Amino acid sequence: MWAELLSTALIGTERQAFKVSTSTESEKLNSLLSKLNNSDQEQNLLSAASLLTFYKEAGKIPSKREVELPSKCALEDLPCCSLGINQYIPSLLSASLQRGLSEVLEELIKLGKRISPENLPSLLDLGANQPTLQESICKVIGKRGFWLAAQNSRWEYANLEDITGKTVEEVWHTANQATRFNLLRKLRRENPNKAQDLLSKTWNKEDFSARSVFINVLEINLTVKDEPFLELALNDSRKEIRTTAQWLLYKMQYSKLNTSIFEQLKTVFKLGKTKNFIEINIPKQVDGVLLEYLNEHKVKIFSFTPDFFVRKTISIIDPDFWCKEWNISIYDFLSLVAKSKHKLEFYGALTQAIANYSKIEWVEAIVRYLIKERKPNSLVYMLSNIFTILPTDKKEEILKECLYLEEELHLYHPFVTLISQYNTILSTTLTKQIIDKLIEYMKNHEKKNSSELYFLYNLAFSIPTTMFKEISQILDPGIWPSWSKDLSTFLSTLEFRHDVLKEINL
Amino acid sequence: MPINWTVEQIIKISPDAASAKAGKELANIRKWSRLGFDGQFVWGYCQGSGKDPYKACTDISEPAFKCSCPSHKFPCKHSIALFLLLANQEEAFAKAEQPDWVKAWAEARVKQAEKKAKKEEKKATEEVKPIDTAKQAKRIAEREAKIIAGLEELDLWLKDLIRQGLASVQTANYSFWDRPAARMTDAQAPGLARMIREMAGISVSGEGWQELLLERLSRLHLLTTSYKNLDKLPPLVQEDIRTMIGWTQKQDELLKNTGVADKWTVLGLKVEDDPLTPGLKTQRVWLQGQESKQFALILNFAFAKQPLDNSLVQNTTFQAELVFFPSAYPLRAVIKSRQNIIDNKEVMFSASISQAFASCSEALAKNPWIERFPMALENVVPAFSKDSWRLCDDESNEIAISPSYKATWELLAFSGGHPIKIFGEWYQNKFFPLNFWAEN
Repeated sequence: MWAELLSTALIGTERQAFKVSTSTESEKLNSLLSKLNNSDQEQNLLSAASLLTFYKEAGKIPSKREVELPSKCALEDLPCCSLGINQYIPSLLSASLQRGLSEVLEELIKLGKRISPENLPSLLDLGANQPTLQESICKVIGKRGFWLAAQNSRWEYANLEDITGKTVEEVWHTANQATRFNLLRKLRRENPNKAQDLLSKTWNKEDFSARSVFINVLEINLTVKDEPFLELALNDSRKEIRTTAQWLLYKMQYSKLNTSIFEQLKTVFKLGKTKNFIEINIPKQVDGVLLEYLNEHKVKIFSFTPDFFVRKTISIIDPDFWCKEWNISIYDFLSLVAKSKHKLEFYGALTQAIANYSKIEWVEAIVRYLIKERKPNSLVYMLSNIFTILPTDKKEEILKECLYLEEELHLYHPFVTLISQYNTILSTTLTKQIIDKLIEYMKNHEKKNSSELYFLYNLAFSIPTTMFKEISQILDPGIWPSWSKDLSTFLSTLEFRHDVLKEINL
Repeated sequence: MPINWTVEQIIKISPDAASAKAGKELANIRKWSRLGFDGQFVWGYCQGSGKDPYKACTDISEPAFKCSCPSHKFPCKHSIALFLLLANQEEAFAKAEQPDWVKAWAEARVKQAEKKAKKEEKKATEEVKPIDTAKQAKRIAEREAKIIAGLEELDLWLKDLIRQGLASVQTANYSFWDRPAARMTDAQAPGLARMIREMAGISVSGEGWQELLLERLSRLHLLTTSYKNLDKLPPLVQEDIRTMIGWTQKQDELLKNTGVADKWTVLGLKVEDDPLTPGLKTQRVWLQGQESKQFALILNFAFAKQPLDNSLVQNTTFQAELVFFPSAYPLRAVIKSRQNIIDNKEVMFSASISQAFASCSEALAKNPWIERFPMALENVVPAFSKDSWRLCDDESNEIAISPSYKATWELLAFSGGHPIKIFGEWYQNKFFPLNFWAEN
């Protein structure tokens, strides 16, 4: 009856007459409906609708379950961090304090603790957006986290199965994609050849999604032993796979692809006759692998300019090739680059190449070169992202050198630029030196602008929290009224880290 | 300290997210000095941007707050921070005598309470100032006449709409709804005006709008018809209808009645912006009596930056006397008197979804105008299929979770596929969770 009533109400009683029907399942309702017999159709319709609406509402019974119940999550084997940590997690996930998250995750991993269930969705979401955090996140979410990730495809990366007691082969042949990826990544770190062997055996049977995920694992401990496999992958039916294989072959030192591109580029970039400049000869035409590479990157021949050519090609060549070819040191090479009128393109491309090949000696050389040569801070900034590649002791060594390079610790000091890229905890010795330098600066200056001590924001994430009390006394905003706002923010962040770590350790 | 306040409870007292964040940031000992407590009051000095530190004090038995900062928010970030400090680092508070300013506030509170009690006592004992009944009756009669005239017009409008068909409203603009709503406001029937304004968006609300609109129109029709036949209905049903039309009852008058004394637990709390009145916030606090097993709804309203009452904190229990608004199925209540918070977490749950539905049916049979019905369910498992979320019980029944509830994944994470206890509102055939607990 409701359907009939609704249809009339929709088109209107002036187009379709309404007559009260008394054919419902309920006698009582029929009896009430039968009383609506006046000549006013609209009144009858509205009254009948009222009766049926309230009848439906008051007599509503729950629907039978259609949805499948989720499986029950197994009991946790890791202890949960304290309830108190819950209050910090939302702040840690917020943009302003997210930089401190890695440290917290590492601490939780170290202590073998997991985060509470209520915080899992936001943490898993963060991992979905920031792949670099995924591995750590998977170690702190516990069984509840894996269980939850299995319910949401967005969190596929954390959908890890329990592989206790299973052999590598068993896991590789039976587990889900995320678990296999995790296994492959672990194996690749510990036994790269075994990982490649495992992947080669099933490669042709893997679907596109698995292939596109697994091939990226080969970046870990990439060597020429992976070359045959990657060359085969160059013939894959999917472009994404071909592109990744090609990128890995470029990245592979002494791969055939890399070497042959270099052979071609040797004629483009030459050491000048006086050996104190780089000569660039732009070819009218290119062929072979270089042409393929440029095509792959949608570079058209008419767009060749020296700047463009430097940017696109220097970035894919192992920088050691140039030193070897021209028989010069890294420092000499950097001096040549500094003289080039395309130096900005060179620096940009070189940074990319150094990052690709993880050339620690180049990072050290380039950073020291820029600092020593007092190159503009903008340049230091441009190259500072490769600073993270260096081992901690090297980074500290450079930071220390940098700290004393200039008398004052000002906003444009190279130290300030480099500390923004420093992603580990400083030693107490260097921390003390930095604080001394900071105090010296504050003593000699009145605050001029709001961004003057902005670097304190970055510094707050690198100072050991064990020094919190000591530092909070020395840098008490009450003692330094002109700098109180910067110092308060700095100390708040430091204290936040201190409190979180303390809470985790409870 | 007598009561263990949790961080979660304190955060919920914050007037907004920004205050909660600022409060958390301020909740560290370094920013505070002379932290003290005496069992009922906690206090401390917080260094702000000014020369002198702000003096913050909290009466934890209620809780009530006092701070010397100029913030218009209540409680301010200093009060929240002080409270958080108490929850996190109780050891930082030294047992001490109240400083003068705390003493002054405590005394002022006692005086205020005494004054209020005296006033109420006086009101109760003194001869009530004779009301000019003739004038009052005249005012009521005039309003009744206006309402009846308004209802006649509304009836015509409703019938006209049914004659032309509901499909016609799809092309109608907002004035189509605003005009009769404004007429109802003029007729001093604000309840009806609101009901009409709420219908304005239905035709563009997507699938099923026709059914929803007809349901709403039929409710409106029943209300107008009932009002015209008010004297034929039982007194409490009359009260419900009058409330729906927009007649209000003075809380002072109401508080003269004897209430229900019980231990009341705050089961859930929700603050919403009123979609029809910009700047108006409505706070719904659901309580449950331990002895009476009765649900009670405390409604608070605040305009713009006015603070809402933050003294009712989720998962706390207090002894109080509540007076219910007269209704065939009383839910809305006001607090007549209350005492300190006590430690008690007993909650009465419906054993199954069908039992909760049966309670709802019983309520609707008495008062069909109930919009939101409280449901406390136990032994339910959150589950989802495609984009819709449900709660399922062990009788193979399910209940849909409101799509406007945004923390469904948190709910699922909390349950881990195991049964949980949950409290929420049943509204427009959907369940909106407000609080949940682990089954064990």
